[in-house]
Amino acid sequence: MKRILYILALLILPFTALSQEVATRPQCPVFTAVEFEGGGSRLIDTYLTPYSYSGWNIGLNVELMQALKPDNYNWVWQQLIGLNYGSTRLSISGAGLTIHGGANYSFAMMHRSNTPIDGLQLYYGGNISLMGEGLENYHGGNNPISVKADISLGFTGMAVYSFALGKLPITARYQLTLPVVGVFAQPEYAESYYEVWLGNYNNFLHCGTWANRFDIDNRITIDLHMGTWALRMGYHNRINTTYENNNRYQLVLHNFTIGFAGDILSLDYKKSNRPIVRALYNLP
Amino acid sequence: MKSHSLLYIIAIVLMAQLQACYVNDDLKLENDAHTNFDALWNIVDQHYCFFEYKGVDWDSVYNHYAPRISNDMGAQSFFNLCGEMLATLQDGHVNLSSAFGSTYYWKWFQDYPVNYDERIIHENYLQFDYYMAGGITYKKLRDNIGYIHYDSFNSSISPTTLDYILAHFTTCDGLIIDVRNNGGGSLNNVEVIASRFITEPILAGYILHKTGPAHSDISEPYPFYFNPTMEHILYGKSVVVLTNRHTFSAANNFVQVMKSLPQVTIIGDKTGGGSGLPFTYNLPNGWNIRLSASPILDAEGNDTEWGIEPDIKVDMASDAQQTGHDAILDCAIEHLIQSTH
Repeated sequence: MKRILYILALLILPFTALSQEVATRPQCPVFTAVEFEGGGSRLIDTYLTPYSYSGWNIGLNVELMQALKPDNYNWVWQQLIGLNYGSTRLSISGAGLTIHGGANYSFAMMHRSNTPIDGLQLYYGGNISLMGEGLENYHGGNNPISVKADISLGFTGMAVYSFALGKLPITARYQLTLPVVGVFAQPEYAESYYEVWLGNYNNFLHCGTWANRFDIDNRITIDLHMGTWALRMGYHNRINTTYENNNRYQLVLHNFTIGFAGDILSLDYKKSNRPIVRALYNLP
Repeated sequence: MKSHSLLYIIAIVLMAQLQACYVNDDLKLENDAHTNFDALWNIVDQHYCFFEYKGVDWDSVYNHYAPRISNDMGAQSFFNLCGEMLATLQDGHVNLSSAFGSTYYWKWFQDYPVNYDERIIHENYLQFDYYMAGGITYKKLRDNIGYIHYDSFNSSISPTTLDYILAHFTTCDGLIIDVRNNGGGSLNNVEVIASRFITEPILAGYILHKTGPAHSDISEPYPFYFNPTMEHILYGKSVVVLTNRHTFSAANNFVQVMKSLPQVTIIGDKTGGGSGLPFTYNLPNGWNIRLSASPILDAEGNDTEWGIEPDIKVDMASDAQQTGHDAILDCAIEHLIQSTH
């Protein structure tokens, strides 16, 4: 019996010490947002066909952010996970059909600074992003599919402005993400994926710079706070472009977003009296 | 602090201007006959892979046909004229497809004997009593010879089914693989079947592709190999492959690979060719143009776009046909009997 109590004491004591330390440390909730988006898409992929397509597009995004201890909690990490699907037809005639769908993930580390403008904070840093997109043109042949895969490093920055409209606290944000260098996959001009499957990877992977690839991501969000959670509305624009092997690819998405956002806090955060350091919101 | 903030704001504003790097260079098009004709001509000009091999002067083709296009011509007339223009490429892989039909170039087999009559085979050689699996018709013929007819490489055949079929013929003295009237299909099925007749990796051929819009923008030949499927049943006895002019595309590729094997004899007529892997593109009006974009060469580096000569040339004589004989199949049976005795 004594031995059991001794073991239990050994197991519990470290947590007691830890919880005492944690009790004095600020609480950094994980900011979480879930967005549904829908709008228009326009694409051209000359590997599939040399003309542009346009149509609709829907998506789902999840955003996570948290403040970090260094530099007095003025560093934050941000993760963005997105899924999208769209259907397009030849812009000129409405004929033909190309569908596209993909997933993307990015991880950013940003430093935030206050500005002389009350309520305005600026964030800036770097990010790493992974993107995969598949296109299928229903014309058949040996080039019905085009696959885009890309990993890149770049800059990201955002301006966050917190204000109140009457009694309603609002957080408005604009974020720009700009990949600079990376690697992406693109077969040669009229090289079939069958040939790639046979093992011909020559000139298949490319170093992506602004000379042969330009991507940009613009996000505007407006969070209307209701307690610790907020209704999110916004606009999301994404452009992916590659020029390689005499092939041009461009996907442009314009989406309106709606969703919800908030800081995930422990249930007893009010009782704990620990200060709260939020990653995005300027709330008490 | 104030100056830093100003810098940040300027930086963000400047970065936002990068949106201007997005180039919208889409062609401004009108969906009329002239635009679609030019689109068709340009797509072929920039993607077709056999201009130099066939000696086609595509510019002069444009000069011949472009004056005959007018925006007030009907869709069908326009379609027919485009089909006529595409026929100058003499390629069975080149088709223009619309909602009301497709253009075809048939001369690659029209000017040759048919050399295949399914009814004669089913009635006089198979006696309407045969197995069918995975798109393959098969039976043991007289004189202990196995017979397989595979009518399309679009019909996928599972390794298990192929095991059953080859096991059925293990006691036969030889095997006939009839790919007459096989218009092609998936190249994967070529490897699935051909790999049962090899015991070590073989060079199956070379594949090339267009690397740019100029006619001479063609890649270096890339060798590709077939490996034996050692975990499945292999067939090592004598084999005859039967061909006619309607043996085309992937079937032509199959013959090309099988011909390089020492135990295989090709009997029948020259194949129809079609060695270019086709790509398809949309026209502005939604029609599709299919064309050869990626040539496949045989193991010696020869292009087989115009077809493959058989080892033993045989045509079906019309009088023998009237008496229910398939001269090509008879020749194959005789060849196998003689090679086993």
